[in-house]
Amino acid sequence: MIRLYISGATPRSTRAVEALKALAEELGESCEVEIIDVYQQAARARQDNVLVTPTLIERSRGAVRRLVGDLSDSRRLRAALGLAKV
Amino acid sequence: MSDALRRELYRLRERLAVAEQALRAIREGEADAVLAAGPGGCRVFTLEGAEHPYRVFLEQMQEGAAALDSQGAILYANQRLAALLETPLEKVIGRSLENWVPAETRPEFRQWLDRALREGARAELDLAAASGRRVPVGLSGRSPGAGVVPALCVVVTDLSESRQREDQLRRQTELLARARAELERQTSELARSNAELEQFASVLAHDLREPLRAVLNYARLLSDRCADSLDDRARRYLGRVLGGAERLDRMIEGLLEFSRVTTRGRPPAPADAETVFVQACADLRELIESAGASVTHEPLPTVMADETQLLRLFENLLANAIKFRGAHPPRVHVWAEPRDGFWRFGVRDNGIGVEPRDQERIFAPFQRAHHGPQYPGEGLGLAVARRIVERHGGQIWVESRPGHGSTFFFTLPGAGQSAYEQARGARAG
Repeated sequence: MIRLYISGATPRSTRAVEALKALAEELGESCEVEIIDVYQQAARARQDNVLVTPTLIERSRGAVRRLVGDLSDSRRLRAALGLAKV
Repeated sequence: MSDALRRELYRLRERLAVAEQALRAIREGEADAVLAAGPGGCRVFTLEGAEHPYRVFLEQMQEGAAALDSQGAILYANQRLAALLETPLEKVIGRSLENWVPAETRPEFRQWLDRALREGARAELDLAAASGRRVPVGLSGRSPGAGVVPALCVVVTDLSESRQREDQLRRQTELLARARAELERQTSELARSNAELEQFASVLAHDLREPLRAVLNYARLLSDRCADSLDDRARRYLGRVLGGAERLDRMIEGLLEFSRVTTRGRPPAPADAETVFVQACADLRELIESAGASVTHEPLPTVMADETQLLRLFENLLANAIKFRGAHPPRVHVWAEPRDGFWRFGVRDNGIGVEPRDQERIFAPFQRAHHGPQYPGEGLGLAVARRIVERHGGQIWVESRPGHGSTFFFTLPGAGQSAYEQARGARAG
């Protein structure tokens, strides 16, 4: 499960959404993505202890990985998601 | 170290790491908003720009709003759009808007997307909400500029309600058209049966006259030439026969006149009511003089009327006003005033008046409010008057206080209005 927290249509948030969208397409059906706008769904941010946006959270097998920023650095994004280098 | 302490330490370390990561992101300009837990819930502090009013506007507006990339993927959406698509907001952002476009409207959607990206465009099409429900929407999209993210700003308007209203309006219009057609059918049916009835009455009156003439002629012959051979009783009976036959003849004559108002009427043309009224007074001079009546009038206008029928109308009303006189010599006054494109005429007398219960009845054929030798007549004068007025599109009625006289009112179209209608008719033809 991948969650991306964004704050409305701010520049970094929209860039982060674009980057994640591109990656999700690459990965196909196998990954489930939720994108949460903290303005409109603030309670969700609190559950995940999100302090800033954009923040990407990936949970698998009890481990939590976080990445803060616009996700434009695909190497860091892949590392955060535990994906091997292509 | 106890397990509890170790767990606490681990939790604190984790929180510290999250906080450090957040701090670093802020320092390096990678974050654009900070979230802070407060008593009223979580608050969001935007690090860049005074975007607050725009954000509130987008979030609160009653239309769906979305920012798309050039492929149609949703980078941002407001709650209203999520509600319209019946999909949680977190499942809307990041997916392509095309996911909610049913297959049959997809070409239309792509055309709109292309045009919207190039020059801004609107479209009306159906979206499919998560439940499968079709939602008619208006899409309005415009690009903020080349190379800018997002590529397209879109407003999605739910048209379900206005479509429903349109459907309702259409249904009502159809109903109305059907009702109107039915009304027209009934009206023409009524006109046809009316015409038949009139013809029937006219034929009947005509045919009744022949045998009646024979009765009248032979009764007169009997009374003129054979009176000597009859005794008193036979002469009395013969007198009754003659009286009855003559009355029947007058009734048939009246009925024929009544039916001829429509069958022999001429088309209305401008007629000077003043001239016609003076003529009516001249025709009734004998009656007026013998009753010692005074007839006065104010200047009368030109109206659209069949002049012969207008004359008949004045004669009937004047004769009535004089006939139903009270103790004083009859005084009749006639005037006219404009009302809504019509002229309203008044004929006021100082006669015996009409009881409220009779004020409608007296305009029906053979209906009379007063009987007796001082009020001769067959009860057709006002029926003919009403028929004449209604044939001209007017109305006739009486206002009266018994013992204090009556005023008969009737309306006729003014010549000006009808001239206008004639001109309009001529243009249309």
